[in-house]
Amino acid sequence: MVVLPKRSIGVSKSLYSPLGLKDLPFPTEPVVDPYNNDPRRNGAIYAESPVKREIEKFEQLLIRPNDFPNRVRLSYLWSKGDRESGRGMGKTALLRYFRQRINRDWGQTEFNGQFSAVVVYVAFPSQVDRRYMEQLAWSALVDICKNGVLNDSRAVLRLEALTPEQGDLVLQCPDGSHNPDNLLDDSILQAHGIEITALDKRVAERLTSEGVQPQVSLSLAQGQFREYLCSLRKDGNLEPFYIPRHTKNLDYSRTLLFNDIVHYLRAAGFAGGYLFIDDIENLVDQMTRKDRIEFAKEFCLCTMRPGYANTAYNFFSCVLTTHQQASIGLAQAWGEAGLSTIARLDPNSPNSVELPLPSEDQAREIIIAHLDYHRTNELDKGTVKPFTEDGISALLKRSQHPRDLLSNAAKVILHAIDKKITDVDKTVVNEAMDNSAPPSIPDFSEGIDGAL
Amino acid sequence: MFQFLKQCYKFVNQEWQHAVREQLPDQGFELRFRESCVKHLSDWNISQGHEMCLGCGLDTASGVLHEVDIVAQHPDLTAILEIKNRQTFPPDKNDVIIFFAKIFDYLALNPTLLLKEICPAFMSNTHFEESALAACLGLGIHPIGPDLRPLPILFDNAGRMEVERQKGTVLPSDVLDQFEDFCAQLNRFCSILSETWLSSRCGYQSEDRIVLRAAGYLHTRELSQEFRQLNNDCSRLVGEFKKAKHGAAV
Repeated sequence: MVVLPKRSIGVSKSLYSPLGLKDLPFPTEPVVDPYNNDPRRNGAIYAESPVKREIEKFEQLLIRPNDFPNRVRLSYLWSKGDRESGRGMGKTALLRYFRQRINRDWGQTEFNGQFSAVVVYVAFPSQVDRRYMEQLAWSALVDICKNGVLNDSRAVLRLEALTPEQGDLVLQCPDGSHNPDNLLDDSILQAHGIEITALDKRVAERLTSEGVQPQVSLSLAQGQFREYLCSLRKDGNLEPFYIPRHTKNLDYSRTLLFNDIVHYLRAAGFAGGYLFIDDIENLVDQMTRKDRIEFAKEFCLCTMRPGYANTAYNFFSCVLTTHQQASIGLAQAWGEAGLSTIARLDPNSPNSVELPLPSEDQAREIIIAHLDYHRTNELDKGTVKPFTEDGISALLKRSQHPRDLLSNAAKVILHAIDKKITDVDKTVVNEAMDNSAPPSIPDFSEGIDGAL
Repeated sequence: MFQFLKQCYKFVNQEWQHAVREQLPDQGFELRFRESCVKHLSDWNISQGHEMCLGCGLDTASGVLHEVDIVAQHPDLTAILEIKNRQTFPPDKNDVIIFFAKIFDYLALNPTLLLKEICPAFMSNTHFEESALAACLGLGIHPIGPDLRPLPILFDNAGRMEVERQKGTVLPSDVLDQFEDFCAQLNRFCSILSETWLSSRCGYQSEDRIVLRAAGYLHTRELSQEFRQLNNDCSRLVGEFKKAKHGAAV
């Protein structure tokens, strides 16, 4: 006799419920990864108040809802510090915040329904070896494949290729509401007598007439752009971006991004976009002076100088995140490429937004935002529970650097759970921090005399 | 890891230069190195000579045991070292690949080995043939030889030079520019090789399973030349920094 397994219907009690929390509220690895599903890791939990001033400056420079064509073309998001202390300050989290704000409805809310815009996020998660600008473009193409803009654009292009009557019929659901998802459902289109191949062909022809290469037009019209990109690589993958001997994809990446995708998005109604280039220091740290100059010139060519659709239509505004040490390495190359005259690579330049180290109150807000996201009792929101006042003060005194702060907070909560403590006071915080092993730091104090 | 690799490099480049040669095929190179490890790596467990069970009583998947020159155990790491001191011809790719295969023969039967980091290293008292160096880089084996520092030592030296720079040691601008390029190339090298290390390539899944991630497609011959160049640059820059520091002290 078959015994049917039963699905769990109840939520098992969380280990953290004695603290009034659904889960561990802080990331054990406080490094923002926008593609991670965990809200603690992907930047979804975001305290706006500590960076209110920086958000306002970002809006003035780049959003400008009533003056969008005159937004800056190139800007920088800085953090104070070097390659150690300058990381984990919240640059990626702030980019993620704006990306989510704009991409949730392609800027409809942000720009009061006047036009659409898209944020493309560029990062370098793995091996970066030469052909830096090409990899930057490829990284953007990979994000474009992931962020949903291709499908939504395809839907609107299909709608425009239909007659108004056909469009109404396709959009309409049995309950009378309109569902744009229907435009991407071939079976619904066919049910209304629309021939898919012919429709895709009409869309492709339109894209070609707008300037997209014919083969790319067809792949975009058929919703096969990702597959098209994969076909450029022998291994059929999109990542890692650079694989020696498999670089055909990189030969085309700049043209695909700065010409074809720009034409495609414009055809779909996008007035512009943003390239958020995160972790530029990861590139700079691996570039010799010659490489930096080459990169800066190519970057300038793709984003500022005439030649690509991107520059012809002022489509993408670029935001680079960096810290001061990386910028020193890039400054000379930036000057030689002429980029310094457009946007000085300096935290004090008008095009710069700098993230300061949070004050004690701001660090407290960051902690509260994470706790509130995981509360079991709504009434506790806005408080520091399960921390006591002296507990939270002790935590904030340890470090206000966002990455360290969150990491320390995770250690304290784990310690409290381990010891079955419900009120996290100063003693608990100090115990947890004193028990945690200090990170091993290379000791170079004997200097060059100890070099082998 | 650094501690062990530093010991290897110091031995080849300093201690062995003054050691008494013996009437053995390798002139006592392996024996002297083992003694040196026992003396200088007090918190490490150093394997005996002619060790056939990877220093911890292990069998192999092939059923044939292999002699591994040195296995150095530390609570967090197992260092496995192949030693060559051949006067007639330098190590070639086959030497490296056989060494790698020996390690895999143990791993294929003992996944728990991967619960600790494994650091394979290949030390030679003579220069490496290009193919041997390329194979080392492609397979995540640290090559150590005369004036050939493994990557962690290059990083350590770069860190020391950076400390001197920050302390205000006055250096000619061209040296500073070269140092900047050296650091960039070192970072790039580290990024390129990051997937080749054994602990990145292999992982413990269960007591009878390991996972093996495909990683490669590197131009290792080209990299081997760059690696030598990095080492040359390092030697030159360390010399310049020392000169500048002593000059400043005077």
